[in-house]
Amino acid sequence: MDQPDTIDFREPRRQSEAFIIIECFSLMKKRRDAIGAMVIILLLQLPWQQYYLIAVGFLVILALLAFFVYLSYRNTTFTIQNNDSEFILNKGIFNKSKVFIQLNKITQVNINQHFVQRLLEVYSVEIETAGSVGSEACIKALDYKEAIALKQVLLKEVSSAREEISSSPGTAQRAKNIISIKPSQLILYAFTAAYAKSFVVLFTFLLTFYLNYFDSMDGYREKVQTVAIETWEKLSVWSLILISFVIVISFNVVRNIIVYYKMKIEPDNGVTGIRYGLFSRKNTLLQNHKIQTFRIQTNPLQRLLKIFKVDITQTSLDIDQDKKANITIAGLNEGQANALFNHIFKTVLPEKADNTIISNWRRFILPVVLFGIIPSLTISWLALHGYVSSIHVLLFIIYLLVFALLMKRYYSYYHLYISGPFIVKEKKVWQESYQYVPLDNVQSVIIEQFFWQKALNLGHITIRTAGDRVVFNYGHFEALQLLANFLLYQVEKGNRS
Amino acid sequence: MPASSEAIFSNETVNVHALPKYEEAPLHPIDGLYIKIMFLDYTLVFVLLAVVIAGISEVYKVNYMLLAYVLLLLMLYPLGFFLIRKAFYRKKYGIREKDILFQSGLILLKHTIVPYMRIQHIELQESWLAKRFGLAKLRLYTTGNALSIPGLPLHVAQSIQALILSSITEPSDDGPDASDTE
Repeated sequence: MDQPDTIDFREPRRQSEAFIIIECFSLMKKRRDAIGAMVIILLLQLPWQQYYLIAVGFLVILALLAFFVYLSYRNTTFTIQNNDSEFILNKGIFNKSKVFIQLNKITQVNINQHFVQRLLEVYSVEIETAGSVGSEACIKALDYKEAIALKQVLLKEVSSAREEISSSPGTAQRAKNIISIKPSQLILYAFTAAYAKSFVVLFTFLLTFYLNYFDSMDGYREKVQTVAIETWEKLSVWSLILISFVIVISFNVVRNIIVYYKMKIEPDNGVTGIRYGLFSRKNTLLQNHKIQTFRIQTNPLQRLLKIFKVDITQTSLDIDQDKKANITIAGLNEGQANALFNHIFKTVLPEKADNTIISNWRRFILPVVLFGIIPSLTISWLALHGYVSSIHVLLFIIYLLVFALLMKRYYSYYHLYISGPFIVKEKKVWQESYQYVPLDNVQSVIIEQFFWQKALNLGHITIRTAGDRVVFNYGHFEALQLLANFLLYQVEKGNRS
Repeated sequence: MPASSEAIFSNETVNVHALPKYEEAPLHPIDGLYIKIMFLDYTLVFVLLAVVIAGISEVYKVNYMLLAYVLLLLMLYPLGFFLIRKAFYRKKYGIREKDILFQSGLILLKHTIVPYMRIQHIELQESWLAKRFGLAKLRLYTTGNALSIPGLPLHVAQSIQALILSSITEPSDDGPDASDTE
């Protein structure tokens, strides 16, 4: 078997010929609505004896398309130049364009395989930098060996043929480190993840629909008595809850399985490869030193089952818009989450420190007023005026109880502390989240205080990294100032040596 | 950068209370002329608002709208001046050996501290209005974020820029990675 690094990217290279088919297919797919509409119109207009004209027209269009795609194939070349420091992509038929990408600016190289590509056994390579949203350059058809070799050159990882693990027996050590998430873990994750938001939305929708139905049916209920309506009327609020629950859960389970199916994490020297997906496999390579924050999430149910979710953010220029800089790994067990952390930061997960900053109870004034007191007052007012049935009151009491319990938990678990080389923010409502930020990644610190908080000695801190940020509200102001000074000291002393 | 984490592991205990405190850094007010720019901006917003409301009341033929607007203007306009004046005096910057800090905010007092070594590049902006007052705005870009300090006299802005640039480039002489190995 050839070594992947024998491919010389200094010479301009073309993609595989399969590009022509793939590009034709994807162009057709983009225009599928227009093509479909045209075919339908023609089918209706033409006498059936002339249907062959449709096929002829289709073939002519396809030939034209293929011709232009062929030109585009001839003109698309890529190369790596200037002492292997720059990736250059030439493209365009009439308007030629050149894309220059500095190799050290590349944050991510994705190797994907969609359905048609899978049939033709080629892969697409997408190159992403922190600079903009979406991929900077995309090469649509490369065979496996070339794609892997290109990825390795782009990420300066020529040494290891990590992707060949399965075929070469010498790398058993590496194979052992692979973290693969079993479908059973993923299914457990999908069933227990918090879908409270979508559940509430769906339930409200169904409830409104249900109530409106009764209002409108009041007049002529006797006239229309079909089986369907009888069934509908037998539905109670409880079954509505059950229905929304089932819909939300099943939708999310399916979605999670399609997106994260058979996730494989391959740790290597300084990089982390991640592969996942049911229909189209995504293949992402992260550079460990560009990882800014690491967040572990779970909830009481998942904690029982020892299932965790990890969110990783990387360097990006626009944190709010740039969703591609975030990677989610769902369904890890405890050991796997620890191993991943260990691989990325070369240290064990930090312990909880004794010296944590806690937040003041005033933090809860706003949520309690908004979601507790105002709804209670509204419901009482409505009840006084006779708009509320007993079932609503029961539901509301359940809601209040759940809300109170969650707030209690939120109050007890909202901490910010420094443990080892990490800033850790712990937050538990239903979802438990642990956000880890290496001290080295701090970019700037913001301390804020409302004027009425001065006497209370409270404040807020925002710690910015090049990826995500850490926000901690309603902390003891002096403690936050101490923390800010310590963080600045950590960043600035590093510069001295 | 795996080595750096080990370096912090082997650290001696730091007396956090003895560290330099950002809150004790001397702060300088921004240039007094900047308040004029703030007033002008404010007036501009008011005029725009006036045009919009006048337009609406013209289209819908509501005369009392115009009256209400005049009242609102009379009441709010001076109040705005008062608040802007207060906000202006809150805008201060401080320069330390290794970082720069900017304070602003009337209702929410905000301190932003940016270490020089995290600054990627600096932009010196002179808007047409500020130029007439001889003022400039510094924008300090870190990866993913930016801090802007308005209302600096041009020469001050230039010297701050030079100071920061020199302290960014200086340590990189012995290699940016050298810091990790200690």
